[in-house]
Amino acid sequence: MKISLNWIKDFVNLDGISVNEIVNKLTMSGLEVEDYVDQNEKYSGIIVGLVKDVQKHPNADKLTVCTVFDGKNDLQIVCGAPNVEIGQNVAFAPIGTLIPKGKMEMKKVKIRGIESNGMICAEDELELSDDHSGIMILSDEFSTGTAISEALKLNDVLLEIAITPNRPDALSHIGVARDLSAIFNRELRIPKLDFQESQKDIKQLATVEIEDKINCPRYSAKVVTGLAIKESPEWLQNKLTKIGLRPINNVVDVTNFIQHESQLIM
Amino acid sequence: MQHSEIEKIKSDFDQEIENASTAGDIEQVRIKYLSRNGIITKLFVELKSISGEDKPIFGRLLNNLRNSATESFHNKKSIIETEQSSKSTNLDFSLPGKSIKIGSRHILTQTLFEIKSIFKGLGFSVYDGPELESDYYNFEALNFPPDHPARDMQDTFFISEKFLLRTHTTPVQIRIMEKEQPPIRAIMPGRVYRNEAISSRSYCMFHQVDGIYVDNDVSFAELKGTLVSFAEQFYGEGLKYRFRPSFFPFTEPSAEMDITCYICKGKGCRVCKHSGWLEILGCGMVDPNVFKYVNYDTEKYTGYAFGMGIERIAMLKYGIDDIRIFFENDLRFLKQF
Repeated sequence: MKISLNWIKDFVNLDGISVNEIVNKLTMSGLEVEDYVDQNEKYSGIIVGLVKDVQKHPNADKLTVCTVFDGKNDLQIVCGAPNVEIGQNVAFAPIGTLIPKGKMEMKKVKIRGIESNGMICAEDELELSDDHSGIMILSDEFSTGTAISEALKLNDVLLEIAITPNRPDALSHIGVARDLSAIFNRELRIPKLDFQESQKDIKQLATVEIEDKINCPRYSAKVVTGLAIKESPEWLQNKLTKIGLRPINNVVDVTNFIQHESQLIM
Repeated sequence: MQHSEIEKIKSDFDQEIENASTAGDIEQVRIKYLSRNGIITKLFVELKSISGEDKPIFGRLLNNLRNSATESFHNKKSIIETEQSSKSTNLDFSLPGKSIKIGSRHILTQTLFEIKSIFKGLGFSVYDGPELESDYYNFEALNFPPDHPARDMQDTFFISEKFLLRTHTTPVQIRIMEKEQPPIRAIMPGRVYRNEAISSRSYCMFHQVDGIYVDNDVSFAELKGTLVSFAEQFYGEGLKYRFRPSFFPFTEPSAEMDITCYICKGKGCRVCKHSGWLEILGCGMVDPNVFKYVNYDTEKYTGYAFGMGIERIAMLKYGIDDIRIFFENDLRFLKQF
């Protein structure tokens, strides 16, 4: 099960505790952390770059020679993406950075005779999706030179936890937060529900009939009205993407969100 | 018919046999003298026309002639055959000989022997059990209720509703406890089966060793002492270890035993997934529910149990990174052990 530490921090304050300590204490308390990714480490060195110029590569049809500004210098980059254009903000990996996909170190190379000082990344190279159709184009709001981890909020620690069958209570972020609050003796803050219920009789809107009372002793339902189905807000999409889920729309996303927050399956 | 004629035939025959040097030559001589129309055979026809006292005399002479001729022929024939066969055998005594390849014990057998010998030294006896098990022994009596999610921990090959290929060697614990009363101190090695996708880390069949100790006042401290002693004898003195809480339905509390990663010495590497630790076995105190299935007095007896995968243990010890290689019978691999 994937757990985001930033999400956990909604429920328990972990200030002053190192990732290492969290991983070790969780493991030794019975929630085995099989692996973890510290995104700050993973995306270290990759920054927001500005494409200042795009020229055709003299010796190749499908390549372009771009000038990318990294906040200090203009760098010459050979790029193979079909969608690179002047004025774009892009995810730029300078010489010396480790590309998340394949853990390859960026080196100064000559591509078909032209020097290239880094790489403009596609989403798959940053392990954000499987998309390799073109480079990733970032919002114009980011200032050139900003770390990508900061710009894209990739500053999380993602834990892969193996939950044993006796711990179904830990199958969510609140569940793991409950353990962490006990381990480090910090308060568990479960968000209070705050919503207005109309006085309307629900039976006019929906009915529930239980056909098998043995296997389903209870079914509870609420009706939410006045919804418009559209894309989820960015914070919600971000939370889901990080734990490996694909955002669909606000209604689907919110049920997934609640499931992974509180293990209430909807 | 004259005496001299018979003498002449005999000497001619002897001469021709003497001169014959090949199997073909003597066959020609045989046909000339001894075949149905041969010279000697024809004399017997002439014998019929001889009358009176001479007949038995000539008869005896002819018989002698035929017998000695036949004998000479066979003698010469066997001489020629012997000569030919020794000529046709082209033996080269300078060629190097073919050595007989001596097999060796499979690395898994060697590992198992080593594990067995360590536990025998600690006072454990060795037991066996069937690979085709019933649901009762494999799951139910080990405190896996019919719908318990812990059954999903082991992808099972079911043969029928009631029978399956055992997913662990733990059912042998039940079989021993049904037959015997405490104190029990036993290990149970054997083959187990899991319905898993075959990869470098998992195979559909592998080997386990389970162990159990039941007596009055068996404690977790004894479990630790025994397993640490095993690990030190197997992996070498001075290793670091830890017991990490875990879950198995048939033990409570349960733990997994980790040792320091042999590759990075605890610094963190790819093999230990940067944790510095490698899991070597699962263990715990026998759940009293299990004792109820074998009618042991849960107030009187406590026990510990453990289980380990032989492939895993061997992979860690010898730095093998693909489980499939154990079962491919590649001599280049097998010869290294």
